[in-house]
Amino acid sequence: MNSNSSYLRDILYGSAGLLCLLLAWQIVGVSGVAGLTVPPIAAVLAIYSEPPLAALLLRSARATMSSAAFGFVVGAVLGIATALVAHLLPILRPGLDRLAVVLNAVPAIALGPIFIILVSREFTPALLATIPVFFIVYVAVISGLRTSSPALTAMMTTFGARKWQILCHLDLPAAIPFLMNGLKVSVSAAMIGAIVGEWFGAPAGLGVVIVNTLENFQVPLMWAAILVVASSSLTAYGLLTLAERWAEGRFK
Amino acid sequence: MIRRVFSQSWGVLLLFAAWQIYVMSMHFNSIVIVTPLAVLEDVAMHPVVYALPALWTLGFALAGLAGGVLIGLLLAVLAWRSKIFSGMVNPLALLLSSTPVVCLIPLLARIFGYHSRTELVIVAVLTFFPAFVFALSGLRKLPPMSDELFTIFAATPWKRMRFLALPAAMPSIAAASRVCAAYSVLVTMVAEYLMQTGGLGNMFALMSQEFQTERAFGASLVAMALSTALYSAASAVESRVQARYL
Repeated sequence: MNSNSSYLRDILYGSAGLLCLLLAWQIVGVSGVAGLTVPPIAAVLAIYSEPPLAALLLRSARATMSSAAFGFVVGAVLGIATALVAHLLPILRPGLDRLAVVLNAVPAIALGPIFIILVSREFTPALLATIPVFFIVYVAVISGLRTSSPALTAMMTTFGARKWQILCHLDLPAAIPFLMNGLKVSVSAAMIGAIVGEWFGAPAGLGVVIVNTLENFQVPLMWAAILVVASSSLTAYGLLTLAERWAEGRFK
Repeated sequence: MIRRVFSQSWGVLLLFAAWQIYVMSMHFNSIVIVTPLAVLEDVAMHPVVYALPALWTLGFALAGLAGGVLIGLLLAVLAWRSKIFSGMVNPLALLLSSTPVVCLIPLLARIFGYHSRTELVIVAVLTFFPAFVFALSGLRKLPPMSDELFTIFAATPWKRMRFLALPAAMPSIAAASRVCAAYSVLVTMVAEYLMQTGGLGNMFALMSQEFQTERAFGASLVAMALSTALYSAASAVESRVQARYL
């Protein structure tokens, strides 16, 4: 089978799967098997056409997205920087590894209240988004930096290459694919961090909408908010996959 | 020995020292934030108070983890056997992988009820996906021609499963379990916090309502220790599995 028709088949099967899911959702919603918690998909989509609710979702999405984006960028930069330090100064590495694991293990529900006191309600979601991104990117980059071939490292050392030359020409390019993978996984981690952070009483955001609608039993609005979260993190994931393809072509 | 311990823990020690000094120099009210030494003291003096919630959380986290990994493995085997199934599941898997699962907790709590057993569902939903992806990639990395060999010997599907597919997928499943192990405790704790269903998360919520900040932080500290210990245990299991099957 040539690749073109198998590509077509993938799309066909994929859309069939998606269609089955949507159909199952609609049937469950209409029949009321899951109670009022699973409304028909049509009721959820209707939310987006109501101007006040759509405006609310848009405003909340903007707040959540900017927190997640902050956490993503700052976490990625910190993760890369820490991984470089650990790579260049191997003596620090075991301690930094352990620190990253422990930082990542701090329960968000414990950090949330502390950040609210020390920083502010508005900024807590961004900080909670930073930590998991930092951990994932650190782990990805540090394992990527180790994958450059020892024979090539030995060759560059023999030819009198300096440490930073080996880093720039050998180790860093080897780490790029790992970094891209880490960044892809980080997207949803950043969204989770931002949303959990908003549960502690941020003034606006999709996390606030989700918790409020849960308490007030506005189930279709809750689903609509969750769909916004899912589709925006899916979009970011898709963009990063495109960037990954580009990086693969460039650094392979 | 001491050198090794220090080289592994200087970062964490530094963090705790900074916390201690910061709290002592800012003179916070102890309702707001307490020093790490006070938290450690409370944990050390009242181990019994912490033991039961910790076991509770650990049990649900581990059971959910096991269930999730098992479901992921089953789906991966189905996707491996059937092209149609794998084609249909792939885009859904992508959808779920990029969806922040933690924000589904309120929803799952609503559907399955505010009980501890809902935590199992939540952890399983969170963990089955990485297990599925890792196991499927393991199944697809079979040694060249080994599948054909099993066909030549007319192996039953069960034999093919038992002697070819599962051993090939073992290292990937171990890797997936390590990835999920640390998160399983934390997610269980968030679920307990939101649903108030016992365990460390519930303990944290109650104690911070009663302004017993030492104990609330103690619950978080125990959860951190559990999560780190699970991660290390899963890493150890993973390297043994890799030595055995790779």
